[in-house]
Amino acid sequence: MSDTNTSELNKQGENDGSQPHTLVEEQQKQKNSSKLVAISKNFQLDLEDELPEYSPPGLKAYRVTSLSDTSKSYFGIVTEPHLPCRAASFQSYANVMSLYLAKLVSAAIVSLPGHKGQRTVIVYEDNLGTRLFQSDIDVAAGWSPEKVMSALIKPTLHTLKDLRDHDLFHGGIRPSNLYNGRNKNFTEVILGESLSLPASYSQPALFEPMDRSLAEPIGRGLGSKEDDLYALGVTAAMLLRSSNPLATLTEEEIYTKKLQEGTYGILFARNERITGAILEFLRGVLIDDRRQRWTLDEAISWMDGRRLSPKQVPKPKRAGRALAYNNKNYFYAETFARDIFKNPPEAVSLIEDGEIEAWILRSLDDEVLHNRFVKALGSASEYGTGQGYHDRLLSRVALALNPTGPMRFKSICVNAEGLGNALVSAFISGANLETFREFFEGNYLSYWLTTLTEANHDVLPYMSNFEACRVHMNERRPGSGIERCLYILNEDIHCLSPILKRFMVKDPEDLIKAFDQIVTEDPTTPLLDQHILAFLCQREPKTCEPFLFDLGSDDLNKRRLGVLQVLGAIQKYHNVGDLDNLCSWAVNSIDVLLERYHDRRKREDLEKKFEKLKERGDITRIILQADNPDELFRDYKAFRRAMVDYKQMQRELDALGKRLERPETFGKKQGREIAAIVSGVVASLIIMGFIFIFLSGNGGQL
Amino acid sequence: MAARRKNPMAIQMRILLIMGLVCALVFKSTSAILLFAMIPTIVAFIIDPSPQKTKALTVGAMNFAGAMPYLLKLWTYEGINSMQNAIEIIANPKAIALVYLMAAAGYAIEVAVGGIVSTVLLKQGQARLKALEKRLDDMEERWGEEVTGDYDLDEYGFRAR
Repeated sequence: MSDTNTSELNKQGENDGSQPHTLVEEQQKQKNSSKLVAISKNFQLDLEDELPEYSPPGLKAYRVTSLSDTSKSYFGIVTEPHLPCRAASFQSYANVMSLYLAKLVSAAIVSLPGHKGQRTVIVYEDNLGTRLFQSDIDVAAGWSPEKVMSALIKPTLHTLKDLRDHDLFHGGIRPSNLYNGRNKNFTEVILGESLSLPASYSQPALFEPMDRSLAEPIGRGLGSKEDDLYALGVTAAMLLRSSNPLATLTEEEIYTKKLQEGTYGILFARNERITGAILEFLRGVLIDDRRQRWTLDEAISWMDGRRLSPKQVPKPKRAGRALAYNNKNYFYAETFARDIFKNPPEAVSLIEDGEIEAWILRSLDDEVLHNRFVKALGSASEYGTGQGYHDRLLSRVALALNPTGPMRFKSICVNAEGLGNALVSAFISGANLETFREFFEGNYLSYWLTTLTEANHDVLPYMSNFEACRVHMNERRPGSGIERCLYILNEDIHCLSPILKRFMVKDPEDLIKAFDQIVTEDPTTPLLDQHILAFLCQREPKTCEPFLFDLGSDDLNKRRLGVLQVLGAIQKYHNVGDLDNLCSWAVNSIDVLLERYHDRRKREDLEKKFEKLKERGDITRIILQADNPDELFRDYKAFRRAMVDYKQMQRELDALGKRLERPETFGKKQGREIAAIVSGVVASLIIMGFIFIFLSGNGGQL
Repeated sequence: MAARRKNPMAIQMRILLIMGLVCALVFKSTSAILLFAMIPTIVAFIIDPSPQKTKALTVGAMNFAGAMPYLLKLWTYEGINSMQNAIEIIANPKAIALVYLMAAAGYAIEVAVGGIVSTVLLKQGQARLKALEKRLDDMEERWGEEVTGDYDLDEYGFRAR
């Protein structure tokens, strides 16, 4: 998808006031045009034509018109920065040719009118029709098994196969995301989109396998094809059933029931009997043990007529005696792990008093779990039992009790895949950020890697990412810290710097163009903050890392030079054209750099040169002029010479001044000396004259 | 040590004085003329406070030039290099007037040349003072006040913070 910039809508000329009716028309026209936003070159989003039918939870969809093909209709979803859309999947998703899936035709970053700033807009072809269900929880459609098979399962399995071929996870299969394809007598449902929100964010916990359902929605992360199958199974069960046995239950109660009875067991009322081939499918895809659940290939084989009997799955161990905690009784290690941060002091006291260990050994009778628990205790005390010990202890014990569950730390509850999105949300909302800082500093990620018991995670990418996060959290140089972790864990997130609040900067080129605009509006804005440096270091280290030393210097001059060097490097590597505004700003801010020269004449010369360079729009040339070590050294040497000369002249001035304080004596000595010389010369001439007279014999007349 | 160094000088001076006295006794007619003719120089020597005694030199040179024809007369005519001739010369008002006029000319040279030279030098000094002040101002303007050396400077030559 090609990104595009704002469409600058035509502004109407000023009315002279002589034609009031024209003025009203012009104003109306302007008002209308200000609500139209260009997307790429082919589409136009109408912000006045909202389509609630296609709006995902928390977002808005609007009518989109094609400027080149008016025969088809489109809609666009305007995303929100605090809910990062799945931009990395746009290209692959657009290549999916399924007839039973919302078709993505374009995605672009656009500037919305008013002060909303830039947003990503995803444009889909409007082939969805009407939403079949308005709710996800209270659905009991009572469809026949045949209808569920033909209208839902078959087309959706085809779609999932296409998605798998493009290595995509849907993450939004649920009743409220099913459409009739503009046909009241539909025979196949159309699956709605899922890219405008973080993966599985809009899914109720019921549609998520138990391990993923425990994580907070923003922190679920990308799932697998089997997770999509699980959601399809839950959706199919809801369409089949004629009553909802879960109507009055909370999500926590549903989770506990899933532990007790399994997902399949809780979706249907006890008196409801499902028969036929669809039963195998439902049992197969709703198995709670990830290792035993049907794969997509198995589901497709089943659809093609091959009969597979779902395996019997052992249920989680239930304790013989309940563990009393936080005014509730717990029979499962998983439920206690889920609630462990609800009452930390009591949980810590249960652990330290040995009650949990005794409960594991005697009531759960689980040796493997006990071993994990003991390791967790040891790991928590490795870093001492001072500040932060209790949180560390609870976090590690929660993972030991439910190793397939999410990572928990205080209010954080996320899967490894969803950690990045959760961090984005924390940064934008400003909440929980300190907790995340502690989380990254506390090596929880490394510990999580050691507790993985199932081969459901490809550990390698996590290892490198988590290690990079650990390293950068411990570093104190610019471009490190929790901001760096944000960009390590989110490869396609835009830069979240407060400086770039109105922009969605995805790469250094966007960044420098945004700067060109920012400095025009407010030249005093500091251009590089910790966010932007972390963003650049992660996205394109060569534009930033060579200058980190200067950027981290206590010397303001060096810091300013560092900023210019970064901007110059981006301009150079990305071949960005003339940046007149940024160059003007650079020249103005370079005043401080010129102060590194002692010689004021040199400064004036450079200022004149900068004025010429400003017109050329080349930041690199400005830096080369401003930061020339040879010139600086020459200037320094000349300054030292000038100091010596100044001292000598100062001494001469002082001496001369003192002598001139008494002008009546000034030069008298030299005057007398010269008078003596003159007198001597005159006397010598006279003597020679007398001698000559005597020698010539005239001396006797005297 | 200082006493040891001083003694040889004093001895040299004494030797010169003795030799001078001996010469004066030997050439007593010349000495008599010089003693009488050089009175203005002796006066100048006494009243000149400068260590170089330039006034005595200025007056003395002209004074001596004024006495020169009478010394030549005393020395060049046979038989007249006697004390009597010397007294005759001293007693000659014309001779004395010439000698003292020449000494007065010496005084005039001292006043005129000394005054002219010191005035010129004063003007030059004043001009140099102005030039130096301007140059120092220019240097401060060009290199900043750090060039005065009155401030603590960092390694780059700027005021230490």
